[in-house]
Amino acid sequence: MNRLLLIGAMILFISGCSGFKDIDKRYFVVGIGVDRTENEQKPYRVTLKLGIPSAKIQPGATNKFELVSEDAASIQEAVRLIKSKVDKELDFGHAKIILFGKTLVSQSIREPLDWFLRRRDIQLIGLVAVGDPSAREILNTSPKSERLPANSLILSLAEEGTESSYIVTESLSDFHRRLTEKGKDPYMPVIRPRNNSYVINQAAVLDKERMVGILTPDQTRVFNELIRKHVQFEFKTVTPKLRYNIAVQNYRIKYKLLHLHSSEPTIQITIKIKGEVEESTAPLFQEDWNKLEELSEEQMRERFVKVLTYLQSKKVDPVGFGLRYRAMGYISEEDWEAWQTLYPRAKFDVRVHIKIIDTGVIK
Amino acid sequence: MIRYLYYMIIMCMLINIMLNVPTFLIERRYDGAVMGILAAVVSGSLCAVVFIKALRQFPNQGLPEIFRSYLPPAIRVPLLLYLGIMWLIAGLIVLITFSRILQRFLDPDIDILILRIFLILICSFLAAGSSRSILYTAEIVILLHVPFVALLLVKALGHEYMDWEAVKAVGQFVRKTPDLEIISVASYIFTGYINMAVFNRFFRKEDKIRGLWLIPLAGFAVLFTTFFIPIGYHGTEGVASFIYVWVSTADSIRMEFGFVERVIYMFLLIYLSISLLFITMTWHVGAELLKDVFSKKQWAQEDDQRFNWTRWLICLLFSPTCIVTLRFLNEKNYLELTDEWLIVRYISEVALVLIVFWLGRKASK
Repeated sequence: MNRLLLIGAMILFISGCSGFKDIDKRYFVVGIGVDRTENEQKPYRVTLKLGIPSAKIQPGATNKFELVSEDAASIQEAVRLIKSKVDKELDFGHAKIILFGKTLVSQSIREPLDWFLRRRDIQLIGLVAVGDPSAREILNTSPKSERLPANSLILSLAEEGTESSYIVTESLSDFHRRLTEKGKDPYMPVIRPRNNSYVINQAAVLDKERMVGILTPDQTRVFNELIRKHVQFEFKTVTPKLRYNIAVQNYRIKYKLLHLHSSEPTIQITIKIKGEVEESTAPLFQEDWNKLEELSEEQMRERFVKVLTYLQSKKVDPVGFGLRYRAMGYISEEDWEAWQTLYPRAKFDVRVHIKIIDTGVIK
Repeated sequence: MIRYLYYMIIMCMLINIMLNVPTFLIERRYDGAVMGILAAVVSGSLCAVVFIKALRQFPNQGLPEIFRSYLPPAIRVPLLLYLGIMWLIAGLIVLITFSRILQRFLDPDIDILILRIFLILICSFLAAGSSRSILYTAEIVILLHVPFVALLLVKALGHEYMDWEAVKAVGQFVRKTPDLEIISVASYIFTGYINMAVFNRFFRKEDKIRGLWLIPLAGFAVLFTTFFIPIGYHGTEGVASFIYVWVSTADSIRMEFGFVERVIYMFLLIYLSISLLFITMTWHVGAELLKDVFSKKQWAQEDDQRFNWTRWLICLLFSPTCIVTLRFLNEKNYLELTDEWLIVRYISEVALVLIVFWLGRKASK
């Protein structure tokens, strides 16, 4: 009898789940894009990529989606308006791709970002990127090989599929950290459409408010090596006699801030690289490897210095030298102000040590 | 039996996230939290060792029995009332925080009142059971969940996004002197031993207490991770923007080959069990202390297995009253109240340890 009463009481409570919606009454948002419009009254164009489920998964056929856009004064309003355009409940639980249009990022990123951080259902491990020319255009692309809507973006950005030294990846959580951190500035990968597919080979660097520059693909590669600890990359060395490319298996980057109180503050960066030759225009095996290493070191050094001075000229610090400065014990406000004048005139002393391990299968 | 002491301590070390400890410490990261952590390790372990050693004078006796034999009723009754209510509040804070987190991150459509009623019913049911069965539950829950917590911490510490420069930068603030508030909040980690107030009834004279030196080491490790991992993930500045900083930290960790990519769900499930255990244990202790105020007879070993209405009544009457009052508070007031409770708790805890120490000296003479 007691048990029956208990079960009866439980059944009464089940009716409490009135807010629950079945999976077939939900629309899964797989990508969110925010663009800037010309209209001053409604500056944000929010685009949601809604996945349409299929019974059988097939590449290129089942990545069906619906794209809904709305202009509004705020992101929340736009989402509310979109809700009136669709027939199912919007579910943001799978929204892993967050894109910002290039024009929006060049104006301000802080304000639109707030909604993403404040919403409980937007995951902090979501991936952020800049859409060039617009976020909507990127979301509207569906590559032939894609099996699920927006899946190819996830595969490239989360490094689940391809791993390229040109692709920088950035999560929402890390982006928020860099946007607020004293001494470490944010960056984002730039995605461009190319005949029904994407190219991701550039990085946008931002100060605490907006985008200040876009790196070229070559710079992006060096940039990626600087900010990440384990990317696989390759680089070429050109000499008058021959050209050879080295594939790097592992490398280590260390940096030190030196002579901070002198007139010539120096940022010393030491890079240790181990790699093998993957391509060459002439046989290498009999050459003096030390000489080859020296040649590569010199050219590598130039690449790094170029990118570092470019970042310095834009007054951004994505590598985190400023944070290192603070970690060294310069924690007061005056120290921080000193760093603001210190960083722009710092000299980069890049030291590259390359070790060629082998020349591949052939000599 | 002695291993159950360590389960209680581990339980309190894990639950600190639900009691706003990391958020409070992180708010004060530039004004003494680092030193506060070190001071709390000293103060917390000292309290733990003194309390446990003093209770060795009273084998098979809980706090109510000790008070009965050494203190006049005029002191005993208000003291037990106060302590009992403090214990009940501890469980209640976790219940309210956790139901809020569950609602926010698992199902925002759920009616929070119904969720709370269910949690109260389950926890009261468990808390009204015998003390021994609660100790056994503690063993099962802790043994099942500690490996997952360890996995999470190892994963978090070794992750690419963990920024050790930010940790070092905050570590540079070690020279700032902490105030009482910081020490009292940080020392919460060590509070687990205090549940011995009731569970000492099952610790016999022959039981040897070993491994007390582990308490400061484990406590330091827990405080270090609870404070520095969020800083490593959200940066020295960004970390202050989160309300439940550890939930957001778990959300920032990605486990590609985990069962679910989002670690947050694993985290919430682990903390569901640990929170339920914590609520159950604190309510049980609180109810036991209060029960003794209303009963004329002294507690005896065989009472433990006997069904007792008072414990049920205490849990069931206390929590709804508080929940109704809490409806007038928003999240901000509530979190401030939690911090205040933590401070009051520290002062009361030190006082209680001193009283027990004094009674122990008296008993040994």
